[in-house]
Amino acid sequence: MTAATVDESIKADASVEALRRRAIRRHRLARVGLYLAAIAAALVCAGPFLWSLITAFKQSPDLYQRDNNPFLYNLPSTRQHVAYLFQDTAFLTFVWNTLWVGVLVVAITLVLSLPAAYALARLDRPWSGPMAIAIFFVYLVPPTLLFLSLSRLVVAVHLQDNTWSLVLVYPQKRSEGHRGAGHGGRI
Amino acid sequence: MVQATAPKPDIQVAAEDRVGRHDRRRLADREGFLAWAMLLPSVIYIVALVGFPLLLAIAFSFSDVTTGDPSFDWAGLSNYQKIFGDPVFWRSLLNTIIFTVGSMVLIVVFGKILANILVADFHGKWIVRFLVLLPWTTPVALSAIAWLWLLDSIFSPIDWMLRQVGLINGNMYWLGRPSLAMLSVIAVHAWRLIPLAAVIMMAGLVAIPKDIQEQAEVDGGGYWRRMFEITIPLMLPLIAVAALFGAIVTFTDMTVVYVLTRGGPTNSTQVLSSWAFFRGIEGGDIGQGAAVALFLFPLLLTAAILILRAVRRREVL
Repeated sequence: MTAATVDESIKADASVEALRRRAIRRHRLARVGLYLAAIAAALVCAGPFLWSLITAFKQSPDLYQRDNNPFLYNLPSTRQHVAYLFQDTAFLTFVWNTLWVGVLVVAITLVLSLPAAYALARLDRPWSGPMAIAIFFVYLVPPTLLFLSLSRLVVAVHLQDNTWSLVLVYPQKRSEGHRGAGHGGRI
Repeated sequence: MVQATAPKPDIQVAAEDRVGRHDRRRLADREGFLAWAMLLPSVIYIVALVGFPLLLAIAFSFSDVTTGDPSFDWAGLSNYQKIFGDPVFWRSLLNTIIFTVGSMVLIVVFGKILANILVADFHGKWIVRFLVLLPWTTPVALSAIAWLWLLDSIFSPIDWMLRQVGLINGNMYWLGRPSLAMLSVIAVHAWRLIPLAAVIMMAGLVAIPKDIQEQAEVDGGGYWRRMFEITIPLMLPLIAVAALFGAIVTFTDMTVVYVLTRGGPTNSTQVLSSWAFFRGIEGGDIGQGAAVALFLFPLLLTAAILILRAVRRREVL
């Protein structure tokens, strides 16, 4: 090796080293930014729930103090709100209603919409494209518009003040959602 | 098939057998018939619980039906005349547009950012994914009530934080001032739908072939250049789908408005669907409520067709 090439290779080494350092620095910065962004996203999304959880166990006098830290227990925590929920309200009835209505609605939705989705996506009739779009447009009908007349309809089938009316009415919106999702790629 | 009379020649039995099996196979193979049979239950359900109520609502809008007097009398266009003459209706229409456009912009921008965060590789990815999906999986009514307290006029924790930082002295009265109330309603609604948009866009993000990105990187394209010239154009159809879903849900939604402001202060956050609800259900004037709600449908249809056409055009190109 001549002196000139040695000199050049040293220079090249130095510049490679500088590039490498810059790449590492940029990579580290990107990682820190990513973690900060992820933490911020988690906090913004879950913050209200965290705050609700803390607040549920706070004493009322602690809540009604404008300058108390809303994220800490300024007074000892209490279980009285939870006790109230179970003892003085029909909370368990509400939970039970939610559960059985939810399960039935999901069952009805699946029974109705799975074969329909299969028919539209796999059996691929000439009319299945327009049909899928027609069903998608059903999704556009504002619920406000429907519950005005559905409230009349529910009275007509004698289900007013009855939880079964929910079982009847709910799957309507859901089923389209399923098909919409199944067809997401095509519409 | 049982032959009770004279036994038939073997050949004939075999032929009948073949025909029978053939028929059976044909029934399962007749896709036209099968498709209808599978679709029919849903179609009946939708006609009974969407189509029929829709027609009924249209009929109501031309009638004088109220909750007190459910008898149907033809009232012509008088409901429409009344709502068009009502300044609150025009206010709600404008608010609906502001509400929808505002939340859509937030949903698309932050949905994209969130999608980028969620597909990246980092420790604790699963807990972050779980936490980020919470706003979408929780019933709206529940999370809106949490926000009602977070935005309280006196005890708002958000105000408390701003006071600690020294940005404000008193309170912001988030839901008490017209422009802030609108801002709050939009923000809460966007907060709820951003995770959904992010999940839709994640699908688009992971579907982009790696080699395109790598090629651009080799060619010296930086992060932002790749983002705006490769990632976003390739994701555009899915961004449009996310925006469409967001717009539909926003347009027809009234829960956030109803829980947070009830349309107030002085109708400054009143949207068409909440106004239809207050008129039709709480005010009892079903005819007028139906007329207001009906006004949503053509707007929604136009928006949907425009977005669908935009998506199709991009796919053809």
